[in-house]
Amino acid sequence: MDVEDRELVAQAQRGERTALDELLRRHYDRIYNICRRIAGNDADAADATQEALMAIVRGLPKFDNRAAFSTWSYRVATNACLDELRRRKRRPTPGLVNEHDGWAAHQGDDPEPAFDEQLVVRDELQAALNQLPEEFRAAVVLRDCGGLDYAEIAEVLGIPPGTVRSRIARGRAKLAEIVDPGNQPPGAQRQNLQS
Amino acid sequence: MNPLPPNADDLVSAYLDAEATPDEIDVVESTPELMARVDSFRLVAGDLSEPLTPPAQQKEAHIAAALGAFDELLAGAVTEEADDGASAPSPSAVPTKAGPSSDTAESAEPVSLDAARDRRAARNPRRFNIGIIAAAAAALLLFVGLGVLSIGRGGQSDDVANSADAPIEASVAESSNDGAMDDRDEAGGGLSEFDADGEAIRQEDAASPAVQPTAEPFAAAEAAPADDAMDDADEAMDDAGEGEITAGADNGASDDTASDDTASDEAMDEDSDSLADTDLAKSNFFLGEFEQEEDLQLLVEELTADEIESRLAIAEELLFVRCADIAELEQATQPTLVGEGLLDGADIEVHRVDGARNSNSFIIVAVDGCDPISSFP
Repeated sequence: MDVEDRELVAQAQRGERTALDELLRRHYDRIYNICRRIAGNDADAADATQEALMAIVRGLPKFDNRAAFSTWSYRVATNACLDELRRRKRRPTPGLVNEHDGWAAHQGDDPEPAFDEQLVVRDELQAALNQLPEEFRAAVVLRDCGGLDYAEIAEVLGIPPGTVRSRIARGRAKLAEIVDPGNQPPGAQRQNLQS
Repeated sequence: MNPLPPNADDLVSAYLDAEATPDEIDVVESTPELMARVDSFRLVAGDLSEPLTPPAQQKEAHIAAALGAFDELLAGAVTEEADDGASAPSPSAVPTKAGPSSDTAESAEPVSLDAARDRRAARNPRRFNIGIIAAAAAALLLFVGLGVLSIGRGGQSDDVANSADAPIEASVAESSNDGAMDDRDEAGGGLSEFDADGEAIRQEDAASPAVQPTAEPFAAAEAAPADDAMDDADEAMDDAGEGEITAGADNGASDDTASDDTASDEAMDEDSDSLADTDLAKSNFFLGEFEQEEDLQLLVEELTADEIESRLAIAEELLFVRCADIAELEQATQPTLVGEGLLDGADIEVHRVDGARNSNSFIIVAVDGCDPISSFP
């Protein structure tokens, strides 16, 4: 797959439209899934996916095959999604959530109800996912929807692999807790989750 | 039963993803609670990995739009090549920009960045430089202090003009404090070697007479927007920096003070050289003023690795990074600030987010609130 991707990338970089068409079709569904899961609703996912495709077209000439095209395109898609979330946050109210607070910002009183009110939650899992901080959500989605390994996710998100591992673990723990409230983490871990 | 390790979920999650070490695998597999947790996580991961089917129409529309942008860029690249005389056709036709902002395009092959740098130079506006202003303020304080000293000595200023007629060894053109004033003196012209890029060079040339003794060293300052404190500092620094100036009557320095001045002038001139370098570096650090994010992103993406490293070093050494504590940079172990600029009129910083494999990714942050705006590529 990657070898073929390489060839398609090379052809597209030479200006071959059909190669780009094939490349985009091949990865569209995965990109859409990542955007849909990270963005949390159809409208934002559509915008983010479109942005991602445009960014891929823009960035293709500089793509140097250091990473697999899939990894790179997911990275572009993830950034497009996170940007879409940031734009959405800036839109509704002047009192923005402090996303730098990370996990804590999503506990207790949500300072930006308009954010979640906009979401059209399709299923329970997506609802749970939407409760995760973006950085945790992105890591979990890239792993479970994108199928990327920790090193690839680290590259996409620009964080160390150890942080990826931690974010995925905490994200999954939170998801498991939300989806199945009876499913509590092991004793020692519970305290860890609250930190 | 052994107590569960504090990072139990880490182990479980890594185990599930086949990312655990052999020791960790042993721990998980020998602990029933952890294996139960693995099942729980597997359920969540399995649900998440269920693909969502994108609406077919949307998919086609998105791909069509992307291909349309590709065509547009291709056409733009061809046009640009034709405009350039088509003397050296590129083997690659894909330009680097898309969308409405694609007024320029470049091939996928390595290309000269001169055009981009020209655009950057054209964009670079002058900039209010905190470091320069701080230097000017320090100079102002120094001369106020000298003035007070002079007054304190009382009655010794009768031969002010004589004393001030003496040439003062100084490096006029290198004075960063003059530069500081010139930053403020945008409307009035004057020495501008510390302003941004090409315009600075032109103005420096135009201002070269200032190196020579002049009867009206403050003409430019007078033409500038009024700022009394800054004007005072300007005058003070002109006195300090320019040789053979015939002092005006408003210069309250006595002979003794003039001697002190000479000593402090020399010290200041030494500082000025380094300050000049510093301020020049700071000025060049400014990325420019942009209306479109894409333009800023393009500019940053066109920076070479050496340029980026140089910028990181400048920021580390000379600048106060205002938005270093955002979540996206929490793992940064190296300097991240690549540049500053204006995006749609708002102050922004561009930070490099270190990739795990040394790849570059950047984030634009609005300085006001340190709000991330976008990440790229």
